[in-house]
Amino acid sequence: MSKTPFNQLKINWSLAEDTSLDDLLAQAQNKLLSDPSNPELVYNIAEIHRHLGNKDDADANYKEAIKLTHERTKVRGEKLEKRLEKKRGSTRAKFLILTFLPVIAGLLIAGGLWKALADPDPIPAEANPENFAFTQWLAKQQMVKIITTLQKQNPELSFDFSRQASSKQSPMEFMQSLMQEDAIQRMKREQQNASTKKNDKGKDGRPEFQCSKEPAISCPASDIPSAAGELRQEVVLLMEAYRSVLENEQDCEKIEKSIESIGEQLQWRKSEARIKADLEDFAMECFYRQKNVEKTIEHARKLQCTGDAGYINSVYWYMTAITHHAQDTARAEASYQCFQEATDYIEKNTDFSPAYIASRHRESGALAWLYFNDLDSATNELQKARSLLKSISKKTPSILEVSGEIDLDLLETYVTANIDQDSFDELLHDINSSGRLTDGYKQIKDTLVTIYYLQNNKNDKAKITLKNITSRFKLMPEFICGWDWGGFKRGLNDSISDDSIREQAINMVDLADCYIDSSISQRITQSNAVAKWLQGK
Amino acid sequence: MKNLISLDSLTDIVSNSVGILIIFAVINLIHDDSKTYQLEIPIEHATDLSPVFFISKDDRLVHLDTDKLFANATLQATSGAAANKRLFPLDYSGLLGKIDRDNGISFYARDTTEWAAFQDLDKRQSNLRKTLDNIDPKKQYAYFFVYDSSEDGSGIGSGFEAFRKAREYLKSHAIKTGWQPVNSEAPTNICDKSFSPRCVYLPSYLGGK
Repeated sequence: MSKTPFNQLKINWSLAEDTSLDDLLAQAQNKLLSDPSNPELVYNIAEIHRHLGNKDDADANYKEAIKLTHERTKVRGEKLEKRLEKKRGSTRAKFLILTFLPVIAGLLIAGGLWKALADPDPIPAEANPENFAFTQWLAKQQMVKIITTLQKQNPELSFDFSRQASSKQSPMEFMQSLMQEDAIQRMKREQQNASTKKNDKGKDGRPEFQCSKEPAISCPASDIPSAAGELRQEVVLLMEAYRSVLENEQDCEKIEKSIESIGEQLQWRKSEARIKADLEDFAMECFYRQKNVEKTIEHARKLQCTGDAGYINSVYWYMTAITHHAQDTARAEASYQCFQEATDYIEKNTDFSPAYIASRHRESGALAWLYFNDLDSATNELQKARSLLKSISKKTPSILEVSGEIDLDLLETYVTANIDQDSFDELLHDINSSGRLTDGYKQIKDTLVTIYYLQNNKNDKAKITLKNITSRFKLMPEFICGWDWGGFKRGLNDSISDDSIREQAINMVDLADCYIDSSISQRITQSNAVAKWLQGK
Repeated sequence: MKNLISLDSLTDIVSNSVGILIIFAVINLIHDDSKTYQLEIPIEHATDLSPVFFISKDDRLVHLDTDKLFANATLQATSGAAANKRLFPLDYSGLLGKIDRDNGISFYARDTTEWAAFQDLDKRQSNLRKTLDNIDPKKQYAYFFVYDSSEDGSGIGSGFEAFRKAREYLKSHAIKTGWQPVNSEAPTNICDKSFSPRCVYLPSYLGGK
């Protein structure tokens, strides 16, 4: 059977085989109404027209079919373009992520490594300023700056930093350095006025002071500044500079040799006795630190031979200390008595200020307590100093400063001796109203007061002072003071008979002791423990 | 239809640049073995060690023997040569001295030809090396007065290179060092703070490695 044209079309459209071309055309045109943009349908219409001989209609439909095909191709192309555009966006995102993410990750890792390697190494422990009491250093520098400014504006003011705690000093060293730091600095200032005047009187340079407990001092001529002439200003300035070299020198023999050499060159004049005394004092102190008994005594004698009244007490301080160290008790006692005689001597025969003399009484008290365990003498000396300062009507800042220190020392002896309430209250009132105590010293004062109240069963008052201590610790960034609790702690064994109270008193001392390496929080914990014990009483 | 943009060149440029940067970073990390220390400020603090003084100028170093210097200065002071803040010869490595209330004794370094060049530190038998070797690290530290180069704006006169070299040498011998800059206006001086209110002599040493 031969197929007629459009047979497949008729099958597709479900028409009979004998359907005429006209009917097929009508059917196609009907379909075109519902799908006018179908180029295949239009093409079939054009073919039917051609078979029917409608050339014009066939051409028109052919053109229409081409047009529709073109449009459809264009739409398809646009769709493809959109698809590609979308695909490109997706590809770009993937590219960026896959390319730069590893790079960024690499950079982050490299950065981390860089930072880790470039981070400053921790400074070696032995060189870390914190280990050298950095904060104390900083506080001191700031204070020095302030005080320097104040001094420039008020030249009459006098300050002394000697009571700042030094982490390098043991309490014993601190006590022994009272002469070195506290007294000698004052001496240097005082003696410029006092001893220079004395030297101007033209005496022979031999020591004017002779202790009754010692044989007459015989000085070799080389130890006596005896040359005539006025003070050489350049020599004074030069030796003042030289002090800073000697001060850092640890080689005592070298200091000794230097002093000798300089002395030979200078041929010390009577008017320059103070400078020689100052240098000899360095040598004496240096040998004392080495505990070289013979050399300390030798230079104490040389110092004595300068005839400078400002150094008499220094001589006997070190003589007492070194002979005590050598366990020569008789000589130590004699030296201490000489210290007392020297204090009496400068009080009667020199122009030293009351504050200076009071400081010597205070040191006398310290010696009595430190080396001879003599509470009565210590208390008497401190009371002398206190009376002396109280008798002065015009209180200069330096007098107030010395007064504050002496009062606190005296308070310690009062607590150790468990003195009567009235005397204690009178002293405490003076201390509280002086306005000279730093936070550190207030802690010491309140510790002493708490212990006094504890041993006298005044627990309510003890609770208040203990609360003050705890509160102050909470406000203190660090605890700076300089207080040797050694003598007081030693005295507690005799002064407090009740074991439990003594134990708490020792705890109080420990929490207030600057030289015990303890944090503020640990001190507060100790304070709270004592408070808890008090609550249970 | 629009033409699509090619990313090939951009990809090449970016990947090459990043790669090169990473290589540089890695090389730097490998080669940078220098250490820095996070020093607290101030780095100056008190020490029980005694200073051994040096002046560093013109790439040269001189040790200040304080005993000899003060002895010589004493001679001059007793003869009146040091009066009225006059400069006087110290008979020590070309140094001149001056005494005044504010600065104690000052050392003016004008002629440094007698001083040791810092390159002498590389010579085993040099006097400079012997001097540094004599410092006892348990008792002493080295303190340098270092002239800077700002006097005339040129590098001439600076003592920093010599100082750094000496410091490295001392560090390798566990000897601590301190220093302070000086110049012709404010030269090396030794004074005592308790007597000279303006004295700024503060021995210090730097934390070593």
